[in-house]
Amino acid sequence: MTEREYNSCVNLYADNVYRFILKNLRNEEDAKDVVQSAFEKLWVTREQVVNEKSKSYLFTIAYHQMIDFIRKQKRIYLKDEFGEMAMGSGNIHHNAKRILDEALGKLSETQRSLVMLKDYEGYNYAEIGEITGLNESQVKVYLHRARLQLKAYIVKVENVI
Amino acid sequence: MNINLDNYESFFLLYVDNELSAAERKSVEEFLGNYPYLQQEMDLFKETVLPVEENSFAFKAGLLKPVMPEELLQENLLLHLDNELAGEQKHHLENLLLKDDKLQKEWALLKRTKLETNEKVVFPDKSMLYRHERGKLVVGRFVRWAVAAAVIGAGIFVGINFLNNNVGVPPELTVKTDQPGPPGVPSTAEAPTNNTAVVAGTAGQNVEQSLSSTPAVAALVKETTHVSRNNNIQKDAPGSKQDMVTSNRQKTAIEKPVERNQRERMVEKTESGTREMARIEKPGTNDSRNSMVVASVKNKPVVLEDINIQPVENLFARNASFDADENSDDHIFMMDEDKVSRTKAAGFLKKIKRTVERTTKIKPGNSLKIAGFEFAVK
Repeated sequence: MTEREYNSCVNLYADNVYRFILKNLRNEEDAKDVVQSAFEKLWVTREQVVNEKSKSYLFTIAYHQMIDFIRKQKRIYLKDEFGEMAMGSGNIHHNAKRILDEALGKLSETQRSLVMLKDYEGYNYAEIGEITGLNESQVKVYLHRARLQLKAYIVKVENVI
Repeated sequence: MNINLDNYESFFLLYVDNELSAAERKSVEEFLGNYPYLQQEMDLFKETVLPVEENSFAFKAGLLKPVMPEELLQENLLLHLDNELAGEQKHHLENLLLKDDKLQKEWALLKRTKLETNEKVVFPDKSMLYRHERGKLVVGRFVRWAVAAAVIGAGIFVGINFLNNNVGVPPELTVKTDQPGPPGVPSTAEAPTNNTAVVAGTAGQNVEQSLSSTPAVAALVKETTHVSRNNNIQKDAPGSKQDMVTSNRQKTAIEKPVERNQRERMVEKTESGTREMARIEKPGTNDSRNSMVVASVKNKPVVLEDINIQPVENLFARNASFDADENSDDHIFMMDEDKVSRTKAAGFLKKIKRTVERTTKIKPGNSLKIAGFEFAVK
């Protein structure tokens, strides 16, 4: 990967990686730090990286950096399950999104990462497995469990409302 | 097959159970034709055979399993949500979704767990992520320039120190000959090369010897060489091959007042001698050899027919010394810088080079050490 390809990589994927990390960590500064360190590592190892695989390589780095960061900092902010459920009836779409975000926050880091890599980035099971270090069957099982948990949370909240 | 009235019953049972071959069945039927009263018994046997009942199980539908179990259906729905379902299974599931309302509700609920891909989150400052390879080169160049500047600065520092230590050294008494004289002609000195100054000291002894034949000249030379010798004795005191400039620098501070008095006396005497020499010069006999002989001292008239005496142009007397031994390093060239043909910058650089070579004790041509750094010299 050349200098130009690296900078192009910044333009193309910095937002995606930032969204991925920010949704996981829920802290902007921490997310920026992780993204910066991920790109720094990409820059250092750019000679071994093929440009076509730079995105998945970048997400792999970012994912592992994030896991390391979580283990060190333990700074995931979990909100109360129903703490902010006093929502109005007008903005249903906004509420649905917020409920989904809350439900996402209830998942483990691995499950949350799998859901985001699948939905946001559109990776298949095999690619997600390469990024997260899991095999394809594990990805499938974890992802399906995550979906069912999300569904159960959404149903539960709607029943309360 | 032998059917008779003793064994016909067993054959009739086999016939009813349909266990006989076609030929055997024909034999049984021929036997019944011969004995018609046994037909009634045959019919009784036929009536013992149970009839086939076409009766279907009424609760069969309740025993059937569903085509796709609920667990498999849900997994397929999740795979379909992740766009991971294969073509035929996908088509089958879509057909089921169209037919089953319950399945449609489940599918709608699962679709709500999918994150919105159009959600934009922008990294605030991408410029901090950009990298440029040239940055390292700039740093490298800067370091190189800094090192070069430090080396040059050290050189200038050494040079300035060298100059400061040599400021105030007056020009020495020199007697100059343009060309060396012939071996047979008596002269004050025979310089080893052209335009070489005759200096007191070792060479001064030769001058004294050569001029001793003429009493007046001998007196002048004696006085001059005496002063010069005193001066040289002071300068050559270490007796080593060290540079005279260096030794001068070391001694100037100590012997400055005494040395200055001696030099003033030498200048005065030389000037008076020069005046005398100019007085006895014969301008018309400008021999190519241009040997110079000091003629008289203190208004003693001397007639020297064979010798041309030229006036020394310099107001300041010049002093130089040479050693007859070329291998010796005890050469002194203290010349008036105004008359040096080389530029000041070249002379300055040469002094720096000479000082560095001698302080670092390296052989010129191999390498050069400056401020702890050694540089290869091509």
